[in-house]
Amino acid sequence: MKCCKIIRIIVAFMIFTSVLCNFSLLSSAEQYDGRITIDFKAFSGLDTEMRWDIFKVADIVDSTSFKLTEDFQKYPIKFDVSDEAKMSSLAYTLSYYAISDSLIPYCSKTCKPESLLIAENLPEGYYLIQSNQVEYNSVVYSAAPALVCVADGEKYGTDWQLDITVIPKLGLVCSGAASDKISCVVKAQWTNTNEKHDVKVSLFKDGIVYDTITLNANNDWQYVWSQLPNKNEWTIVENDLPENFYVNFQMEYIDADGNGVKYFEITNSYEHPTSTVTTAAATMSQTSVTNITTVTTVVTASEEEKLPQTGMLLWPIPVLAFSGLIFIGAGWYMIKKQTKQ
Amino acid sequence: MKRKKIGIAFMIIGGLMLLAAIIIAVYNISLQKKAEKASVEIVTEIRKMYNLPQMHEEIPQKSEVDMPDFEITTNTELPEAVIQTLENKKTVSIDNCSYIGVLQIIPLEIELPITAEFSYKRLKQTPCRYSGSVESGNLIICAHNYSSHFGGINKLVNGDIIRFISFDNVVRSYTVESIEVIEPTDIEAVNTDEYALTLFTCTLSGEARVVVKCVEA
Repeated sequence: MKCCKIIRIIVAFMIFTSVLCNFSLLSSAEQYDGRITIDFKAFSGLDTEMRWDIFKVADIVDSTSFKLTEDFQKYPIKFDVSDEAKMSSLAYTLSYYAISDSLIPYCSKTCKPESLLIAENLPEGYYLIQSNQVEYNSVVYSAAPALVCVADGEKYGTDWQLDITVIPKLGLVCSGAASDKISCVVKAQWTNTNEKHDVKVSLFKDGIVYDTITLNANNDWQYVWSQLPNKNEWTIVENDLPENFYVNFQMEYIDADGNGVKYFEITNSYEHPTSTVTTAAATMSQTSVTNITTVTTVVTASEEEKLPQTGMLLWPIPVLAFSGLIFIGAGWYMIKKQTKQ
Repeated sequence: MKRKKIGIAFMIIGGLMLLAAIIIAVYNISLQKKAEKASVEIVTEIRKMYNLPQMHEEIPQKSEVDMPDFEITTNTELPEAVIQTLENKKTVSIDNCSYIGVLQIIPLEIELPITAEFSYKRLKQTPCRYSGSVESGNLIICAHNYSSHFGGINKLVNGDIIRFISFDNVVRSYTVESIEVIEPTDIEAVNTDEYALTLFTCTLSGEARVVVKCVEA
């Protein structure tokens, strides 16, 4: 009897505790007002499931300043949304890096484009919306990635809205047969600098590295991969950018007289690092004072350049064989002499 | 007894040295076999896609070989750079590796795929483009001195024919003009625009480089 009483008390206590915990969780869960609706008007008739990923890419500092979220801070990207062209390029850049590192989206939904897809409870910030390439009736369809701002415009003195509706654009040029072969062309260009560095580019097939090449003066900073299956999704990223450079990707589908071409343009921009300049106080003198700065250049001796080593490891063979025979011979002689004695 | 023990020790050491020599030799042979197999497989794969001329097939200079091509007409709104790129620079991707063409060294009866980019890892399987391009007339190709790769290029003589079939529908024939052995640091001897095609590999000792320089036939 006493036992049963104790058990009843324990169970009651556990129920009470769990109710208390749930209540506190519910009350402490943050509520956000942001909402993104994806309206599939352009996809009417596309009776196939599409996966939509929404990434939070930047926080809003003020009406003109943004800070990339932690996931995207490691990439050499400048968050410039000053016009539509830059936003489009930025969307592709963020999208391709997200694909290359398989970043986890803020939210992801897979559904058929029947009516609407709604993502709610979003904190203020910039969001990247992207979908996977799909095949329907043996034809490939894809939507360009989009960048939207979810924020209370009144707070920042802008036209931003907390409730955004996005109508994705259909990538018409890419709507070729899944059995087609396409070419991927990549070309690098620079802004704000005359120095062209080697550009290391990785081509991804469905999010996995397929090939890595280097664009340089020898290939005029452009490259073509041909005979690639259209049914796979092809993206690129640039790796190992030099310091003070940031990158933008732009992609264009081109129908070259029935043959599909995915043209990637990589733009590397140099941004001079900000430096503090100390101005010396002006001297009250009629004669001009010239400051002579002596610059000492330290030259580090580098290892002499050599043509690649293209030979097999052959020299040890005769050395080891000959030495081995000498040792065997010497050993045999010593044993023989000992035996005779 | 002591002498006998030393003798036995010497024989064991000698045996181990011989064994090491055999292991290295077997390793080198297996590398060669793998490289030969890889090259043959890749060329076979390329032949499935393109109708490459056979080794001793007579080809008129710069003839159009029957290869699938992307026809680019002036009606398309292709950026100029894309048109130029598609017309001039075509590669074929096989197993995550891009190839720029096939090299036929006629006197050695060797047919090899050439990768677009150089790396030591790729060099173990096939010759690599070291620098330059066919279109620019300064292509430099390097390969290991395996017997199935560039091991026999030191046997070439002036006047021998080498062909390069690129994926822009053109077969280019070259004539060997000079064969020399240079120091590995003598990069300038190789990096010259004077010759349309240059091949190089290591000598047997690995201490120097054999360089074959060719002009367009």
